This record gives sequence, structure tokens and C-alpha cells, in this order.
Amino acid sequence: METVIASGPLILRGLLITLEVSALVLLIGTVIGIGGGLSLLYGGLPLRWLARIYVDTIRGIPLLVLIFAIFYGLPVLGLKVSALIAAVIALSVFCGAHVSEVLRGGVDSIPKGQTEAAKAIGLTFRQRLWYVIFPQAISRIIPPWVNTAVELVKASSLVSLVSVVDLMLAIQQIVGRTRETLLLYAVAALLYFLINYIISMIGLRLEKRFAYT
Amino acid sequence: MTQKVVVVQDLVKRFGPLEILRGINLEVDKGEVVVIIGPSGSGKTTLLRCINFLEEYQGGRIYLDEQLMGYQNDNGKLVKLPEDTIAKMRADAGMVFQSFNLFPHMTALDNVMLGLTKVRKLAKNEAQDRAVTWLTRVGLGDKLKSYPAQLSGGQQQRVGIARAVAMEPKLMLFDEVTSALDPELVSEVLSVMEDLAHTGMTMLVVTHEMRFAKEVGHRIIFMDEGLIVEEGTPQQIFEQPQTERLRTFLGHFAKTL
Repeated sequence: METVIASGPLILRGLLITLEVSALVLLIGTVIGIGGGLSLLYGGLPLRWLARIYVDTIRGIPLLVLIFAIFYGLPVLGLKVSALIAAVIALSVFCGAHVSEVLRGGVDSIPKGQTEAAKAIGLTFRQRLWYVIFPQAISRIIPPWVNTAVELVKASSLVSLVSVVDLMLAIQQIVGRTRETLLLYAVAALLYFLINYIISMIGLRLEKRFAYT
Repeated sequence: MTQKVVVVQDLVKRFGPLEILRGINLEVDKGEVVVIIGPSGSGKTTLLRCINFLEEYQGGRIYLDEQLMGYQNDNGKLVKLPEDTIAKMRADAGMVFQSFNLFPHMTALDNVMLGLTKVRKLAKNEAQDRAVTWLTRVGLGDKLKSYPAQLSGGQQQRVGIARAVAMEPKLMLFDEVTSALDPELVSEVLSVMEDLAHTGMTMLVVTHEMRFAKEVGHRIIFMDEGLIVEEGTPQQIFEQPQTERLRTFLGHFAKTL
């Protein structure tokens, strides 16, 4: 027990990295996802295809493979980046693919009649999206988007495998020193759970905020 | 000479190899109420949808108030107009749908106001006045702040009518607007339409309500298999049908007429 308390600062630093990486990746991934999702929905043929290939490829390969590919691949291409940057890139590419699909699915789930009714009163394409489609889609997008965020926090533990000292690796390092395996992994599990519990709570708040009767 | 609000010439519409409309010719005068009847699959709905360009068409011409709908005539070749131009043209043909299609995230008032502020560019208070006027006229003056989910089907459809009419279109298209309603709610919608017909609104109505067709329609068109088979006054159509197909079709309604 004392070992855990003594390791507090190290765990905290790892926790902070996990939070920072997750938040940053969610931000970048969401921006990519908005671009990807809109391309899937409204892009011209080449753009739509490109987005489709991106989304399907990334969702089809294990995240760990993606992380290794970027971590070992970028130096081969002559790009020297830190493990942290490589990890953030890999996770962002991963997150972006998922958010693209979340956005597309949310917008596609709005009945066609909504677009037709909006057309019939003379709204332009942009106006239809802005006043009719997106306000309805947002409440359908938030739950799976929050789900993606939760998955992302859990998936971020994989960055420990390219030596980014996140919560996972911090815990492993302390385990290596102290052999307090059970206790330390319980602490890790609890912390991951807490992060995701808070995210879910925020998600419920957002859902209520954007709900319409 | 009366003004033609709609002129349809040799209209052809295909879905892949399937020819839904096989050469439709139709003219609607200002203030005229034309009712289209016919079996399902006859192309009635598709015809309406082509008129406000919810469907593109492959042959023929549609003129709405003398303007070619959706296309530009470039030396005899039809070139599709830019999306925003088409959007503006659509505002002149109000449409009411079978499934209402109200915007569920907006109140009845906002449903009606949206087009007024964004398309007609009315000031907010002006738009609100006009929306309230129309919602009151369809009997929903006390439901302004209600969301679609809080309204009955008949009430929703009346909002749908108010939303379209408030835009002051040159023509109103009604696509089987009572087909999704419980029987006891049909009459409240039909009476709003009848009311509208009496104000001189030009209307093109696809319906299975034969009594409405007979009493409100100035002219009846019977469509079957993508063609206009017969047309005439309600009396000609209902009392002296000329073709076997129309007689058979009307036979299905014999009990309700």
C-alpha cells in the first residue's frame, strides 16, 4: 500500500498523459471526422471514395498495427518524431475514421422526407443542412460519439507499447519495481473507469441539452 | 387568355429501365383546382414530384409560371440549373406530403416561419405575423408553441399546409395528404383544403378521396400506367367515364361514393 502512495506522483503524471493524449486526439479526430463524414455524405465521387477507403481501411486494421506502422514507419520516411507525437497521430487517424462513420450514420438516419420538405419550401443545400438536418442529427450523433471517446481512452493505453509513459506504462513501471501487481492494476482499472464514467456523464448531459421533444 | 400556372409537355420520367411517366401533357390555369386520381403506381405522385423538381425528369418540359423548371434551355439542349436557383424556384410550388414531414425539432410556429425568414427573407416579426395568421386559419392558433410530436396527425398535416401556403406559392401540390391519417381526422384536413380552393389558390391534388375530387375539383385527371387516360369535369369523369379502365377504377369506390 505504501508503495502505491509513494508512487502517487508517477501515477499522476501517467494519468495526466493519458488525459492529455485522449483529449487532444478526440479534438483532432473529431475535426478529421467532420471532414471525413461530410466527404462521405456530400463529397464528389473521388472525394467520397477516398473517404470511404480511409474509413474502411482504418476501421479494418488493429489499432496496435496502426500505432506500430506510424511509430516505425515515419522514421523510415525520414520523419523524426517523438513516440508521443507518433502515438497521437496514430490515435487521431483511428479516431477520425470512427467519427467520420458516426457523423455519416447520424445524418443518414434522418428520414428523406425531411430533406424533401426542406427543399419544397425553397431552402438551399446549405440551409437544409444547417436548419433542418444537422439540428436533428446532432442528438443522434452524440451517443455514438461519446462511445468513441470512451473507446479512445481505453485504446490510448496501447501507446504504452511505444514507450509513451501514460497511465498504463506508469503502472507497469511501478509493478516492475514493487511487484504489487494486483493492487496496482486495480488502481489502473479504477482510474480508467473513473475517466470514462465522467465522460459518460458529460455525454448524458449533452444528449439532454440537444434533445428535442 | 387565362394565365397558365403550370404547363407540362410530353413529360417522361424513368427510374432506370422503368418508365414511370410516359408522355404527360397537362396545363393548369390560375385558380384552378385539378384533382389527379388513379391506381397506385400510375405515376400521380411522381408527376407532382417532378413539378417541384424533387425528381429530375428525362424528357419533355415543365413550366412553372412560364419558367422552365430545373433546367436551362441552351440551344435546345437542357442543362440543369444550379442547385440554389432550383431551390428558389421550388418555393413557388408549395408541397404537402403524405407523411407530413414536419421538422420535429421545431414548434409549429417555427416550422411555418423557417421558409419565410430564410427563403422569403421576411423580418422576424413580419414572418411571425404571417405564420400566426396561417396557423390560425387552419385552426391551430392555440398550438403555435407545440412540437409536431405533441400534435395529432390531422393537426400535423394542417401545420404542413400552413407551412406551404404561408410562402404564398403560385401553386400548391397535395400528395395524398390524407392517406396516412386515421379516418376521423381526414375531414379536418380536407376542409382546410376546400377552404383554400375557395380563396382561388391554384391546386394540383393527388388523392383517393373521391368525394373531395367531385365536390372541390374543377377538373379531374385519371392516370394509369404513366399516362393520362381521361380528363374532364367531375361530372364527365364520375358520371360518364369513357374508358373501361376508369370504370374499373371507379368501381372500387362505388361503395364510398
